[in-house]
Amino acid sequence: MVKELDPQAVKKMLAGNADAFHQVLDFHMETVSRYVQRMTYNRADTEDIVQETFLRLWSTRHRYDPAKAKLTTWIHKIAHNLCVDSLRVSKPELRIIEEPATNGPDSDYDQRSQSQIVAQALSQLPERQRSAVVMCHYQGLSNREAAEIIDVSIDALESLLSRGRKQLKKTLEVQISHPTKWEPLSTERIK
Amino acid sequence: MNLGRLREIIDSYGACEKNWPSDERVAVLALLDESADARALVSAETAFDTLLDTFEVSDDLIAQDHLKRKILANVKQGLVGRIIEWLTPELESMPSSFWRPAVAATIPLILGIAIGINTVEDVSAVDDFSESETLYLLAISGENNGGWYDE
Repeated sequence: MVKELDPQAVKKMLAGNADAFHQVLDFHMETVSRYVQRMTYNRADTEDIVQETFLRLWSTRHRYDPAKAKLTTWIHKIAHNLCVDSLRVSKPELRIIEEPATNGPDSDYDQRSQSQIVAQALSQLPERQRSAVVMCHYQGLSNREAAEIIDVSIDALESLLSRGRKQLKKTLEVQISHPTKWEPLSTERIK
Repeated sequence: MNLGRLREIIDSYGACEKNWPSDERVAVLALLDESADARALVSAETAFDTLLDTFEVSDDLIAQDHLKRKILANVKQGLVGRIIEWLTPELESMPSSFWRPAVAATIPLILGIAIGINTVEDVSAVDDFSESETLYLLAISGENNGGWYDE
């Protein structure tokens, strides 16, 4: 059964009720955290952006019109703008770290390693392509919602998605066939 | 729906049905039913989607309560918000708290009566003053008139 947020909670939050905001926070925090983690792949940035997203949601609640957009779209838009700002300020350089020789064919390790490789390949994409892929593939947003958040037409969104996935395939093909692990410099990794 | 459009959809949204545009999903599924080429296109993309799905995010970060506490500590409900909330009870609790908006509605009436009473008192005070002032002025004018006559 899909968990749903009580529409009254949204109404109350918009009227300035802090308890209702708590409910909205409980409901949306996980989704937003996942989005921001996939966009930044950095723990410190993720915490800051998630916190700022919800504080902005609260401080700009009078600008949200439920008739024009779903709350989840509105929250993703705030998070997206903050991620873009953050990514423009700090673009982590990448380095390639050779796998330690002692690592055997452990499946958990392989899984983690593969996750990191995909994360790194994703982080190499231009920010709009990355946003499009994260929203449509990982966040489960519809094409209309993703297009609205990135502020492009549906056709432009499909173009971003198509180019993004093509680039990912290219990068991952090289990375998976040549097992190496990438890490950004000067940033605290999530895993 | 044709194979060309299906290829575009798969290139953009991948092989997972739930990610396809909702307004084209039915047509895509119909095409998949009747075309082996269409099924081959989807099948070829499935492995890539599975690879993308290996990207996991950290659950411990998501579950961290301290972040929620930090956010909530920064959120303060303003006086206006509390007043609005008090004045607009939920529908379910309306029978027991309908008096709140009623009380709020009578406030302008009460204020109006209070201002009206005060205004009336002020006017009478002004009238009294005017009366005494008039008498005084009449008295003065009488002296002056006498003075003029003396001359």
